[in-house]
Amino acid sequence: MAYQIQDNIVVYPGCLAAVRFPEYEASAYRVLAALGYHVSPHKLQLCCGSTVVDSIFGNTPLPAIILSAAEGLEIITLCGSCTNVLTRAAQVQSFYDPEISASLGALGLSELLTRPSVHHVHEAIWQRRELISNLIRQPLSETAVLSIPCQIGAPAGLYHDAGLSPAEKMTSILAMLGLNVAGVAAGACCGSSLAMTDRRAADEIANARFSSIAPGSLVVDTCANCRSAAIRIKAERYGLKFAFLTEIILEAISDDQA
Amino acid sequence: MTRRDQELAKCTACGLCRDVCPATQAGAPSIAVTLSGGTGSVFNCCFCWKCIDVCPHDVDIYLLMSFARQDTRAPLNYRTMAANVADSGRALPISEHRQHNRTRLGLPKLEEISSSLLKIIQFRHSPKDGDAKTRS
Repeated sequence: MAYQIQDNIVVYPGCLAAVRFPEYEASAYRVLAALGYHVSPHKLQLCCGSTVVDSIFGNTPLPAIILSAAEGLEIITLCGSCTNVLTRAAQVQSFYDPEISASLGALGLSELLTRPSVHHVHEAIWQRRELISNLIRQPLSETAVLSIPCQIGAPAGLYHDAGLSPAEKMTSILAMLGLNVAGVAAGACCGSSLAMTDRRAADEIANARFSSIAPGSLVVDTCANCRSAAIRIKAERYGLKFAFLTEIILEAISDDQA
Repeated sequence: MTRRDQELAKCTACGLCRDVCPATQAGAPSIAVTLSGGTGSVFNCCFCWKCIDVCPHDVDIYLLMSFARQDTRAPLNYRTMAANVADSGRALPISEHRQHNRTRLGLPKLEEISSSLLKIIQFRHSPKDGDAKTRS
C-alpha cells in the first residue's frame, strides 16, 4: 500500500519561493488547506543547504536543523532543490554526524528517532486528488505544458516508487482541472543551477526548453528554480504564460476568481 | 577504503553519464566528463541527476560531486550565496519590498535568524570561502 501523507504537515518553501515567489507559497497553503491538511509554516525559514552550503561548507547542519525543527511533522516542499537535499538528509546522512547532532542539541532540537518524511507539494495534492473534482468552481480550458523540476523527476528511485511518475501525477491533476495538457517541457532541466557557473550554457538549456513550447501555452511550474530560469531568459518572448501548480489549482477551486 | 573510494571503484568510465549530461552537452563539461576520463568542473552541474539514473553501476555521483566540491575553490556566485547564508541564514536576502509582498499575500514575515543559530551554521564555514561578499 502506498505511503499516505498525514493530516498535519509543515510547509517549507525554501529561499527562492519565500523571497521571490511568495504567491507560490501562499497558494500552496490555500490549496493544501482546501484538501483537508492542517498546514503550518515551518518555524525556521533557513536555507535548505542545497547547491550553496551542501557544496561549500561540506557536511552542513542546515538540512538536519530543518528536519528536526519540523518536530516530527511531515515536510512539504515547493522546490526541487529543497526536495532533493532534505530527502537525502532524511534518508542517509545528517543524523549520523556527531557534530551535527551536537549542533541540534545546542538549538534545543533533539535528534529525531523517527525522521520526518519530505514530499514535494504535488505528492500531497495527488494523494487527495479525489477531493479536487468536488472543489472545482470554474473548470479551466487552456493548453498547458508541465515544467517538471529535474530534481523531482530524477533519480527516480529517490523520489517516487514504482507507481506513477511525478510528471504523470501532475498531468493527471491538471487534466482534472479541465486543462488540455500538451505534455512536459523538453530537456532534463531548466539550467537554473548551472547559471551559477556558466551563464551561457545555462541560457542555452533554458532557451531549448522554453522555445520548444507552442506559443500561447500555459507553462505550469512546480519549482521556483524553473520559474527563475524562465525569467532570466525572458521566456515570455516565446508567447508563454506562467503559473505555479498551486496557483492554477487555486484558480479552478476558488469562488473569488474573476 | 573510504566511501568516496568505494564509489570511484565502481565507476568503469563508460561515459554514459557524460552522454546524458545537459551541462556537458551545452558546452560546460561536468564531473561526468571527469569520470569518463576527460576534464570537467564539479561546479558545472544542473542537478538533474540523469547521470545517476543512467549509471549501470549505481555510482553515487552526487556523493562524489559533494566530496570533490569540498576540495575545490567554488566560483564567485557560489561563494556569494554561501556568504549570504552565513550572514542571514538564507541564500537570498529579504528586502522590505519583498517582506511587504509576503504580508500582502497573508504570509508571515520572514524573521531574522538568531545569532546563536547563525553561529552554528557558520562554524563549518571553510576558509577558502572567506573572500565572498554578501549580495543584496
